[in-house]
Amino acid sequence: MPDASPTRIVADADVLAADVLVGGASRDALDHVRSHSWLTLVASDALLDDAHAVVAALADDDLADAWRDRAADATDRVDHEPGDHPGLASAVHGDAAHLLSFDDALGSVHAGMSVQPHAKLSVRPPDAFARLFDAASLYEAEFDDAYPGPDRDPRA
Amino acid sequence: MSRPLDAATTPATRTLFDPAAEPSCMTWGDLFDAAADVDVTERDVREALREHREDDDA
Repeated sequence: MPDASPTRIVADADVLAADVLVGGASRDALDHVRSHSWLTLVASDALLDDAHAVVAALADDDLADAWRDRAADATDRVDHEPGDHPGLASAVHGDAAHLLSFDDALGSVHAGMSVQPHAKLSVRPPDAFARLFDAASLYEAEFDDAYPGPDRDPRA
Repeated sequence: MSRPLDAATTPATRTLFDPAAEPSCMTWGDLFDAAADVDVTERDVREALREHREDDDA
């Protein structure tokens, strides 16, 4: 399995749904990803299904469907075993180094998972990620070049 | 250097530069506007996800 990349990020379904329904730290965190074309949001169909269900339950089906279409377009899709935790499994199979979740117990070993979280996986709540993520340092470490600044409209 | 986030990168004019990049669905801004009147908290979201995943596991 390739090494996890710090440019590949998974948001669990609670963070994905809070991004659209609540805003706040979840939106701040995902705005980092949306603002940089070299960062990749990773998700499985099961993960998007979970977030879709939450948006539908708390808002309505139309908004949930529209969110699902946009999120599907914005994510690099990965597959995993049906019984696995969608957030964790997306991070493991998607070679992501960051998993954003309100559940801070996600980083521990999970019984029943077909794969276990790799050692490089950082599980953080969105407020911590939004506060600590340093796009300039990461860009310069990954690309050996000066950070050019945000290159995408996070509302597009 | 990248182009700053000015009018050249807004959805309304982006097709002038890269038609292939135009999403065929709502923009994030449109989605956030559509959800602006939804009155829920992070706690509500976490609880809804917990219930959904428990139903799936049952």
